[in-house]
Amino acid sequence: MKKLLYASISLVLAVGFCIRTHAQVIVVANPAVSAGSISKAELRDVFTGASTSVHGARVKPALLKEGPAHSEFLTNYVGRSPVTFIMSWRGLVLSGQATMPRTFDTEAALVDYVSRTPGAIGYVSKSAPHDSVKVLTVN
Amino acid sequence: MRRLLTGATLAFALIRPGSAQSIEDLNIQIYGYATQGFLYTNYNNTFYAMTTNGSPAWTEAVVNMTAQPKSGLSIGVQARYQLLGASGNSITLDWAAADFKVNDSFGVRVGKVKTPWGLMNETQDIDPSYIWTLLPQSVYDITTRNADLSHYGGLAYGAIEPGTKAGKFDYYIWGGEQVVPADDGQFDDLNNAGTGPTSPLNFTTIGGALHWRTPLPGLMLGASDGKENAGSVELHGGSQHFAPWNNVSWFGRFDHKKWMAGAEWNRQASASTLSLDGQPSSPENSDARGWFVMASYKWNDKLSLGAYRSDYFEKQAELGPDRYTKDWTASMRYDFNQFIYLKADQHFVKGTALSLDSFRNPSPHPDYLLTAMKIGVSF
Repeated sequence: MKKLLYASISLVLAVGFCIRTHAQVIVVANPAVSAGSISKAELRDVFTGASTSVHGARVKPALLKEGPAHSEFLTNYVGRSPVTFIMSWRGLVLSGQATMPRTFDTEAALVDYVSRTPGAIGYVSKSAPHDSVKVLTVN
Repeated sequence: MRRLLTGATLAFALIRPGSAQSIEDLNIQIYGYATQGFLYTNYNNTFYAMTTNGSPAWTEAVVNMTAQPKSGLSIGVQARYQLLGASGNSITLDWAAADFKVNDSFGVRVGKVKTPWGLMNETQDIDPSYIWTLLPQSVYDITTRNADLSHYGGLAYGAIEPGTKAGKFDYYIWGGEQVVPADDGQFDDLNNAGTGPTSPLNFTTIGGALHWRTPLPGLMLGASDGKENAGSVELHGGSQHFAPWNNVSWFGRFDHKKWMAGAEWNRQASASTLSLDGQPSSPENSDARGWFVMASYKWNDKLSLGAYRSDYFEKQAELGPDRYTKDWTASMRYDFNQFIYLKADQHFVKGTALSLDSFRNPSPHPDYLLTAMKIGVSF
């Protein structure tokens, strides 16, 4: 009985760990973007519409519509939940202060857009194919 | 002139010398929302509606379209249907503007643009962007907001970062003309008395605002000042002459994890002379001061809770409940998903200085409860 209990607890912890680390999001950019790294504050500014440049060069944020990488990126780098995030962007868009960043259904589509759009910057899970884009280090 | 300015702005922005662009290149976007509200008061009829019976006469629908013909340039137009009690029930132009952002330090927006005074003026009519069913009425009075929301003209804006440890300063400088339709709700009392304006109220506005994004993450402190000049307004059976007045605000906001706190103090003091046919001219002075403090907490991904205290004083009014409105409010917002939400406020109001027209409130009660609910869909 004890063995069964330990096995169950181990399984739950293992599943929980897998779920927690499933996405492991990375920040990707068009290969022409000169910056090799970006700070968390710069990421937050770009993805909340407060800034449109990194190290003086214009950038275009690209978003995923949903999914674990989307949630993890918003929580860890932007500090907002998906609902709060979209709420604040709607405020900017509907008051004429900004246009909504391009949003993609799949990571492959986002990577494709980033790879062929100068200045584009986005995020995908580490496991998603991303050979055609540049990975930025987040400080 | 205003139509010419708006039309020319959009046409200029759309016409690009050189090659044609694909629809995808233009990045055309369409967004909008619709809300249906319900208002109930135990005493007093507020917002031009018979709210003591419960009133669903509170509807808004907004749609906008934007395009980005080239990097840094965006153009857009937004239309709104609004019904609030007996006012509105028409489609109006919210804004129509071309925005050119040279870089983070400098950008310009021209056309009919939102006026960025105070903490929330640019978004006070964008319901999906906040948790409150009604914003603090001491500063963002829904019955008079059409005079404040936007102006025909321009706006320069940008962010300055003087040093890595000083944070950033967002600046806004604007100028142009504000227009309030003669049948706007705020003239309800005058129109019911037969002495309303004969034509839209036009007044020039210039102003500036500064938002300091302090080194403490999430803390913003700001101030704004706008100078308004209405001149003379022709009324049925008379006229009213206004001296220029200022719209001054001091405000701040702090966001930390699931918490948000905000505060604002606003003053608008104006002096005018009312001249009605067959009567001697009389001074109509006003010194309106409003402030609020608010806080909200995001309980989980769907539920947000909040509360605020909102006080308004008309310093030129006689002592008594007509001189003030004090409002304790508890709020909740529930987001079913990214598109549909429900909001509810419970207001505990003392005083009758705001939102109660004399036509529907011949003897207003000094204390009352207001329940406000809204369901919204945004896309």
